[in-house]
Amino acid sequence: MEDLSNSGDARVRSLRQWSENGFGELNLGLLMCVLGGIYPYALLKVRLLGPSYAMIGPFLMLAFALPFVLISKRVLARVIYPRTGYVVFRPSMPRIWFVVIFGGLGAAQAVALAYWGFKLQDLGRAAGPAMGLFFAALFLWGVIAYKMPQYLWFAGFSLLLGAVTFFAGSKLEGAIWVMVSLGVVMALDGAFRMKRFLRTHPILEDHHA
Amino acid sequence: MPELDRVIHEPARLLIVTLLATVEEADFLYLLQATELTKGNLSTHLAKLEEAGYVEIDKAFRGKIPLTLARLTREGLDAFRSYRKEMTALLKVRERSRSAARSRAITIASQKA
Repeated sequence: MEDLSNSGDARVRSLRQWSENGFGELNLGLLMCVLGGIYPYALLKVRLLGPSYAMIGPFLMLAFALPFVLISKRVLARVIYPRTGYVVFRPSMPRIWFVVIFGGLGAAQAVALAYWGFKLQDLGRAAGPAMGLFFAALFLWGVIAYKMPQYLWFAGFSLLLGAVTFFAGSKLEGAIWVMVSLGVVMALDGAFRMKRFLRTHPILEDHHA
Repeated sequence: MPELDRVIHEPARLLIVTLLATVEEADFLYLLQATELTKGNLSTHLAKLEEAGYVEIDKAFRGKIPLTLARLTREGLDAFRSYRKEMTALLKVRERSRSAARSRAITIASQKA
C-alpha cells in the first residue's frame, strides 16, 4: 500500500517538474547580474561623496528588485502559464519570515556600510569567499530540500569563484565578481532550459471544467 | 481501527487534494497536466470535492482568457491532514502485523528444523 497522500513528496515532485522551464534560474541569474552591477555604482558614490552614501546600495537593490518582480510576473503569465497551466506554490516558510530575514539582512548591511564605510575594505579579501560560501550553502539547501541535483554544479561553481577571488587578492569587488559571474552562468543555464522547454511544450488549448 | 474519509480516499481525489495541498491555487489546466486525468474525470472529482466543502472553485478572467481556479479550503486542508494521520496509523498497524507474521514464520521454521 503506497502512501499517496505524502504532500511533502508531491511538493518536491511538482517543484522539480516546474523547474524544467528554467524560468527560476534565468530570473534569479539576471537579478543577480543587475544587483551585482549596482554595487560598483554604490561604491563609486561612497568614494566620491563619503561613507554615508554607502546606504544607497541596498536601496538601489530594492528599487531594481521590485520592477524585476513585476516584469517576471508578466513573463510567467505570457510564456510559462499557457504551457503549464497557472499555479502558485505554497512558500516553504511563511512569507513574513522571508520579509524578516531579507529585510533584516538588508537593514544590517545598510547600517554596517553607513557606519564603517571604507573600513569594510580592510575585510575585503574575505568578501568573495564569503559570498561564494553563502551561495554554495543556498544551492546545497536546494539540492537537499528539493532534490535538484543541477544545483550541485552551481554550489561547486560558487565555491570555485570564492576561492578564485581570494587567491586573486580581490577585495570587496570579489563579492561582486562572484555574484555577477554566478548570475551569468545561472541565466545562461536558465535560458538553455527555457529554450528546450518552449520547444517541447507548445501552448495548450485552454481547458475548463 | 481509524475511519478513513471516503471523499478523500478515492485515488483520483486523493491525488487532486494532495496536489492542492502543496499549492496556494492552481487552474484546471495545471491540474489536468499534473494528475493526467481526463477533463471529464477531473471536472467530476473537483465537483465532488467542492460539494464536500474541501475545494473552492473560482471562475475568473485573466485578460480575455477564462480561468478555472481551484484551491483547498481550510476545511479541506484539515480533512487532508487528518486523513494523512489516519493513513499513517493504518500503515503502522500493517507494518506491525507484517513483522509479527514474519517472526511467527521464523519461529515455526526453527521449530520444524
